[in-house]
Order: sequence, then C-alpha cells, then structure tokens
Amino acid sequence: MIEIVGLKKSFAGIPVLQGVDLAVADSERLVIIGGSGCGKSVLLRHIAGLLKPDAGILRIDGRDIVPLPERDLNPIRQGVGVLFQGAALFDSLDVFHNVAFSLIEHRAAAPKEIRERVAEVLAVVGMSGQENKKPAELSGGMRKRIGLARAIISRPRIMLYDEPTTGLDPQMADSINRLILKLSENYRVTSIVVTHDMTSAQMVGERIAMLHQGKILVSGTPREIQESPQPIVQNFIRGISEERAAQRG
Amino acid sequence: MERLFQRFGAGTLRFVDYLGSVATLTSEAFRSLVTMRPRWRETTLQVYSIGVRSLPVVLLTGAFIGMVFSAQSYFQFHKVRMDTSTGPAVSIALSRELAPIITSLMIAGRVGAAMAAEIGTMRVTEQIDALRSMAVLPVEYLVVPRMIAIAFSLPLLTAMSIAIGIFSGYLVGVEVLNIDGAYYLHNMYIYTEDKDIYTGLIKVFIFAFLVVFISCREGLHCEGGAEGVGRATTEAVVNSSIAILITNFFVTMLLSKIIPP
Amino acid sequence: MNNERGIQRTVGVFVFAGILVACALILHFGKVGDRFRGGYPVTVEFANAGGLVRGAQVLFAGVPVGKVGGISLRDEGDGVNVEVDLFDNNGIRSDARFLIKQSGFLGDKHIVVLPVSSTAPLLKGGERLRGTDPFDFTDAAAQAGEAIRKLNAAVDKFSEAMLDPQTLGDLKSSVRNFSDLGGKLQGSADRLNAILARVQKGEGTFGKLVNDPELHDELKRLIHNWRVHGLLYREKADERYPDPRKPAPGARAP
Repeated sequence: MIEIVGLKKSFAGIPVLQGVDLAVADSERLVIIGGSGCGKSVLLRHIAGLLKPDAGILRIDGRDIVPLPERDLNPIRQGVGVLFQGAALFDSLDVFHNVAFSLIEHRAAAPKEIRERVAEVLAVVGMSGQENKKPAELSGGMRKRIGLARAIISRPRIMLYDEPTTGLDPQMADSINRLILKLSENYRVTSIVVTHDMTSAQMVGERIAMLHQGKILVSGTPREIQESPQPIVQNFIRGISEERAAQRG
Repeated sequence: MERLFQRFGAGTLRFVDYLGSVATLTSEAFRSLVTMRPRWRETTLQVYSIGVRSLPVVLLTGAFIGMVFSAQSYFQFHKVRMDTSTGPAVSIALSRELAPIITSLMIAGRVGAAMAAEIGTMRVTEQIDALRSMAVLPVEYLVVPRMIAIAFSLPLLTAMSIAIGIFSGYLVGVEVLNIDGAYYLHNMYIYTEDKDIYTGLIKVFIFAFLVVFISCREGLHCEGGAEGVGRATTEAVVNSSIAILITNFFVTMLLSKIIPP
Repeated sequence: MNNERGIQRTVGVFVFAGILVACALILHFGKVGDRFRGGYPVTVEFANAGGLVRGAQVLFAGVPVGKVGGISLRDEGDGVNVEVDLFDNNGIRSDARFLIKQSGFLGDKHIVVLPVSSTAPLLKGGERLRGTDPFDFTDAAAQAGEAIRKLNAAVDKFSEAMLDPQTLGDLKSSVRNFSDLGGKLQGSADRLNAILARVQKGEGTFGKLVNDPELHDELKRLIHNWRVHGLLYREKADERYPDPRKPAPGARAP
C-alpha cells in the first residue's frame, strides 16, 4: 500500500509537484501518464526514495518515508525495484555482476544460489546465457531487459518503471509491456509505470492516472480515461498538440 | 555597486556551500569506513587504477625533478665550492617538498579527473540512483574504496618518486657534473633524516583525502549530461590542485611544530 | 573480468614494492644501521654547548666514532651535560680531551676528541668527563705560553743591554737632565692626558690593550710568572694561577 498526500517539490524555485495525492493498492498496476516534463519521473523518484519532497507525506506500508535519513531508507528500498529509463546498468560490470549486484552487495545468497537466481531471472526476461556480455555490447531493448532482471532478482514487492518503452521499437516495446504484465501476474507485485506511451498505458494499466501541472488530474480505469470528458485528457491520449487544440478552439 | 556586493555575496555563499558539500562527503565516508564491511574487490581495483597505472608517470616526473634539481643545486653550490652539498640538497628537497607535491599534482590530474568523470557519468546515466535504489550507498560503494586506495597508494607512489629522484639526481650530479660520489652520498646520508621522509609521506597522505573528496564531490554533484561531466572533471582537477598547494603550506607549518625540522 | 587475478597480483607487487621502498628510505636515512652498532654512552660536561644538536657527529682523530645522544642543562646551572654515544672499540682513553668544533661544511657543530696519552686506561661506559670549552683556560694558556716566551726573551735582552756600568753612568746624567726637562714635561703631560683619555675610551691599539679583560688577565699571569721565576722578585707559586705545564692537583684531564 502506497499513500501519497500533498506531495510538493520544486527545483531551483520552479514548482514541479504541487500537491500530489495518490494511493496505490497492493498488487495493483497503476500507469501514470502526462506530458514531458510534467514531473512523472520526479514523482516516481519520490516513491523510490531517491528524492526528498519539500512537503507532503509518502507512506509505504503505513510508514512515512519522508523524514527518514538515507541510511534508514535502505530496508524499505530493498523491497522496491526500479527500472530506470536508460536501464542504468553499471558499465564496469558484466551482465552477471549487474544482475547479481544486490544479492552480492547484501550477501543475500551463497555464490551457487546467486548463479541459479541470475539464470532464473535472465530466463524470465528472455536473456538466458548472456551473463558474460558487457552493457556496451547490448542494444537498448536488451539493456532494459537486463535492468529489469536486476530489479526483480531481489524479489521486490513494489516495481517502479520509468518510461519502460521509450526509445524502443514497437515490437521491443510490446515485449517489455508483456514482461511487466507477466511479473505483475506471476509475482503479484505492485507496479507503478510512468509513461507517455498511450499504447503501453492501455496495455498494462489496471488504472491510469494523469499528472498535469503538478497534480493528479484524473484517475480511473483505462476505459474511464478513454471516455473522460476532460479536453486535456482527450488531447493527450489522442496526441493533439496544444497549438492544434487552440486552432480548433 | 549593489550588484557588485550581490555578486560577491553569492560567490561567498557558493563557496561555503561547496566546502559544506565536501565536508559532508568526508564525514559520510569516514562514517561508512567504520560501519560498512570492507569491499576488497573494489578497493583492489582502485589501487590498480590509482596506484599501479599511475606508476609510470610518477616515476618519470620524479626522475626528471631529481635530475633538474641536482643540476640547479650544483650550479649554485659550485660557486662556493660546496659541490658535495648537492647530495643532501637533492634528497631533502625531494623528500620534503618536490616529490610529494609533484606526485600529488600528477595524481590530482590523472586520478582526480578519472574519478570525477567516472562518477559523473554514473550520475548522469542514473547509475548512482540505481545504486541507491538497490539499497547501496554510493559513498560506501564508490567513495570509500577510492579513498582507501588513494590514501594507501599516494604515499607509496611518493616514496618511489623520492627514491628514483635521489637516484637520478645522483647520476646527474656524479656522472654528468663530476661531483665526488663518495662525499655526495656521505653528506646525503649525514644530513638527510628519516623525518624528512615521513613528513613528506604524511603530507601526501593528507593530500590523498583532498583529491578523493573533491573529485568525488564533483562527480556526485554533476549535472547536465556530457557537458556537465566535462565541467566536473575540469573542476575536480583545478580544485584539488589548488587545495593541495594551499594545504601544503599549512600542513608544512603545522608539521614543523610537531616534528621540528 | 577474466584478468582479475592478474590485476590482483600486480596490485600485490605494487604494494609490496612501495612499502619496501618507503621502509628502505626511512631506515636508511633514520640511520637505523648505526643504532644496532654496539656502543656505550659517556657524559661530557661543557660550560657551553655552542649550538651543538642531538645526532651531531663525534670524531676521534678525524674518524667518526659516535654521536651526540642528548643535551641537557645541568641542575647546578653551570653548564650542560652532553650525552655522547660512542661506538665500541674506538680506542679513546680516559684522559682524551673533548672539544666542540665547527665543521666547515654548512657550519655545523660536532665534537672532536683529541688523544692525550697512550697509557691512560680506555674510556668506559657511563663515565663523566669534563669537556674542553670553546674558550677554555687551558686553551688560552697554551696560546699565552708563546707570548710569554717572546716577552721573556725581550726582557733578557733589555737587562743585558741596559744594566752595565757604562749605561748606569749615562743614566745618572740623564736624570740630571730630567730636572731641566721639568718645564718641557708639563707640555708632554698635557699631551699624554689627551692620549690617556683616548685609551680609557678604548681607542687606539694601546686603548684596546688596556680595556681587554682577557689581555689584562694574561698580563697579570705574565707578571705573576715573572715573579715565580724571580724576574722581578721571587714569590711562591700562587694557587690561583696554576702552572699550565703541570697538572693541577685534584683535576682530571687535561
């Protein structure tokens, strides 16, 4: 259970989040949509505990993480997996060490078990046998898959996806979307996906929330969003630019 | 006029912020040093890239500094027929000042830049956030191994630089400038003391921390993509070099009180 | 990361070599080798250490035989105790003289040990010796000895030339002439006064002579010496002015 109340954040005096209220139920799949630079990724980073808000409450399983110092956030972070926009693989490490990173760092398993679990998650993301490759040798979609494998190896209860399909061809985007669904269904993880890709949002979202001008504008099932009477929502999901909307008047 | 004051005030604030961020990083690193488990693998790799890979450039500069200082000392001492004083002049100057400063500046340039660039790239590609999201503190994973490695490597590099500087200074003095070799070595032995060596080594041990914290701070606070990484790299080298030169004076004065020269 | 073993080995070699070089430098310039050479300490008392420092060299017949181990002011407040660490088998005898000298090189101070006899017992550890001070009585006496010898010769010549009957006769007439000179002398006396004033201020050669306490001392000694040898009138040797050529009773070397 994630509860966000009145979350505010500004960068260098420019407000980005202006009082976000949002609740995500356990094992729910929520997609947050919104235009570029509207603060979707910033919101996601707050949920991951990577940014501190200026004001507001952010409860994960009933515990407010806002006042916690960096070190005390670690136990909570171990239950949260993040797939970053550019996958954020460690360039200096090969695929195996990237995927096994958190297990090795936290001494969570014996070496033999680590090898087995790496093979297992690589199979889940369809990258079996790629352990010895370096991130530089991989394509964008492959990197995302490895990033996903790295995020799920510690069996998180919450998965956060930051623009998972951005920069991928439609086929690769589809396979990533399928993976998100598969993980959600197989492991019952709570999933929050931030995207501006409406295809992806329609496909993976049980619920879609739209962030606009630093606040949640609407929230509902994909059907409800599709049929929303709000022109801002309609313009966004149909891909109508503000200029064209203004011309239509 | 008002504008001038504003600018001056803003500059001062930025400087204080900067010092604050370096100090915070320092205290975090030392705190992690006691609380975290040792990361042998990362530390070994850092000793390799900081120590071993810097060895050629450090030996080269050390040798040439020893040679030129030997020649310059000889030119002056020869005027008063004290040729063999060149020996102690070279060994003492190298141990106390030349080798520590030159080695530290070379390391600030080579290693400081690499640290800022590496960590800066990790920062702009979200690898730092990835670390944090996996409940690994960047200070523990990135800064502490580098800190241990440089604090360990720099004194060793400096010792090697002193040794090769003394050796090459001897070669130039005795073989090229025809100073009496026996007296050169004897005077060097008589007038150089162990404290000359370890004051130099204590100094670089302190400089090691300046380089690692200033460079890592630049990397961790890097913003704005590839351009930001470039800026952080330059800042890291310039700031750590300045910090080394300024600190050198004060540490020298302080050490002269603790270990009278 | 297949070369990780290689990296580890290289790092090991680097660290080992670095520590080796650092230790070698510190041990070499720390003169640790000397510390393990067998030796013994003696204490030498000086009135004035003359800027001597710990670790300064000790030379015996021009050969390094030890080091200054420490310098401390004497509790009696009349000088310093210099701890001298001497190496074994140096052949220094207990009557050897210890002097503080300045070496030409960089103007540093060191201790010079001068041999005196080849019969005295060898110096042992823990002994206390009286050092020869930079301006020591015996040193000064040795220098004064030469001057005294020359003066004696001059005085001998003077008595031979002056004290025969012929000269005495001349002297008588001279004395008579002196009374005539009385008036003229007044003028000379005035001039003399002026000279004396200069002398008092320490100007001119003679002035320096008069105002130099050292010279005064030497002159006193010279006159005493004359007395002892019956040159002026005979007197018993005074305890205050011991003959430098004979060792004073109760005093050790020299």
